[in-house]
Order: sequence, then C-alpha cells, then structure tokens
Amino acid sequence: MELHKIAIRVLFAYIFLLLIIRLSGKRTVAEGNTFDFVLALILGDTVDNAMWGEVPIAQFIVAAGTLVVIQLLVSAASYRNETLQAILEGSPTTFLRKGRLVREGLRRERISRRESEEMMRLGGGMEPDEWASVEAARLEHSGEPSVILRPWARPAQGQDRDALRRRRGT
Amino acid sequence: MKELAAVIAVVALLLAGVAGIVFGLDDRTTFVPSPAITIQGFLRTLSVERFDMALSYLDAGLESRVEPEELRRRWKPVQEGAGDIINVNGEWEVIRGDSAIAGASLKTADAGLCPVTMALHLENGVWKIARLDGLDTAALRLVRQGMAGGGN
Repeated sequence: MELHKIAIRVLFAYIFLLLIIRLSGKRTVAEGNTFDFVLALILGDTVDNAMWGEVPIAQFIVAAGTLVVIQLLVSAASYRNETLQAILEGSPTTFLRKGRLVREGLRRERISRRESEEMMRLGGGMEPDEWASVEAARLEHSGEPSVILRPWARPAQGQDRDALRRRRGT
Repeated sequence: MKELAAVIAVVALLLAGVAGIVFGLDDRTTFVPSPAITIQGFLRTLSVERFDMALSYLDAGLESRVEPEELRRRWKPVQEGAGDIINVNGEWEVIRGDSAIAGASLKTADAGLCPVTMALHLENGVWKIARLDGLDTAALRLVRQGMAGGGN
C-alpha cells in the first residue's frame, strides 16, 4: 500500500470532517447525549474505512454528510419538542437527596455505593461526611453528575448580605 | 436552517471535487479502493459467507449472471482446502488502462498462505471483479497442496 495515498486520504477526511462538524454547530461534538455519542462512534468507523481506502471517498462523504444532516434534524426537532428530547436524551436521575442515597435512582442507573461516592467527589468535591449539605445529586443525560446544595450550605450571595442588613436594621 | 444548508453545500461541493479527481484526473487508487483492496474486501466478504453482499464487488455483467448460491458453490472448495481463514490481505496489483490483475493472500490455519489472483476492470470509476476463475485456481492449488501433504 502506497503511504502517500494514505496521507492524502487522511488529510481529505480530516478537512471534510472539520468543515462539516464546524458548520453543523458546537452541539455535534459535545457528546452531550446518546445520539451525539452514536454519531461520534459511526463517524469514527466511516473515517477508518476511508483512511484505508476500503470504500470510495464519495461513499464516505455521503455517509458522513448524511449522519451530520440527520443529527442536525434530530437536534432541531428535539429543541422544538420536549417529549422527543426526553426520548432521545433521557432525563436526569437523582441518586442522592437531602444527604441520603436514593436506592431507586442507584438501581436504575446501576450505580454502586462506591461509584456514587466517586460521582460526589467529581460533581461536588464531597466526601460522604459532607453529604448532609446536599439537596440533590443527579446523573445528567450527559453522564456527568451534578450537585445542588441545600440553601444553608450555598455560598453567600449579594442578596444574603442585603437580607442580613435588613434584619440588623443597618 | 443555515447549518443544514451549509453542510449539504459542502457535501455537494466535495462530491463534485472527488468526481472531478476520479473521472477528470483518472484517479484509480487514491479516492477509490484499489484493485488489491477490492479483492481483499471481496474475499473477506466471502470468508464470512455474506454471498449476497459479495455480489456488489462484481461488475454489472457478472453480477447479473451470478447468484449468491453460485458464489457459495465456488467458495466452498477454497474454504474446505484452507480451513479457518485468519486474515485476507490485498498484496499487489497491475493496472493497464481500465483493466487490472490483483493478488491477495488468504492466511489460513491449515494451509498457510494461499494466494488468490483475480481480474478486474473499471466500471463507473470503481474497480469491479470481472472473472471468478481466480477462486477455482485457488481451490485447485489448495487441493494439490493438501495432496502433497500440508501448507507452506
């Protein structure tokens, strides 16, 4: 196999993907939901075939272009329709509420206690003895954990200072 | 939707560019699978017994005459002589105008390396297999090799 031909194909595939992904907007590469992940996976496979010259480049362009067009149409449709968005992206799962693990949420996402501890460290930098300050911790549709603190545990805001001043009458 | 129009425009533009390179500049091995890669794909498809899919590697004339069952019948002696096929590699090709001869080797468990040579021709800018006698030759070689007492 002639090496310079591989280089030409790789360069072509790189420029083409860069162009269509850039033109299709930031969401395409965000890997925010299942569909984005599937898109990245299939694009990777089509590039592999094109790189080794196993399919005509025209087929690669049509396959990758069609995938990106489908992705654009689906994301536009899910932006307009919340039901479709819930089907495609799923909904966040609460796995910790008011400092306690939610068994239902853990079971649904198959998260062990050890994994929940890891997620709390990742999402809020918290060890189990600090969980009492958590209102809710959720596994978002992107697969990332998010942590919402109880009102008393949240960092002081400008409005808290104003409320304190009012209370003191200053 | 602006993004949609832009993506479709880029796809159309690049397709036109590739068509120009393939048909205008006569590219036969860079933006289209080379003859060796074509027979590699064909033999790999046969080795997983996807005879219906393998028909797409044949030129229009051959594809209209050959049924998946015939591919199965011609592949069977190769498969039996070779045993388990571990890998298929397209190895060489000689291109003369719109015709080519290409060779691939079957890496097999029982018979070692088994070369397969096939004739191809260019059809609408894509290499297609023009004759299937390379399969019969490979089968015959494997039979002789078996009678002589093993692989190479």
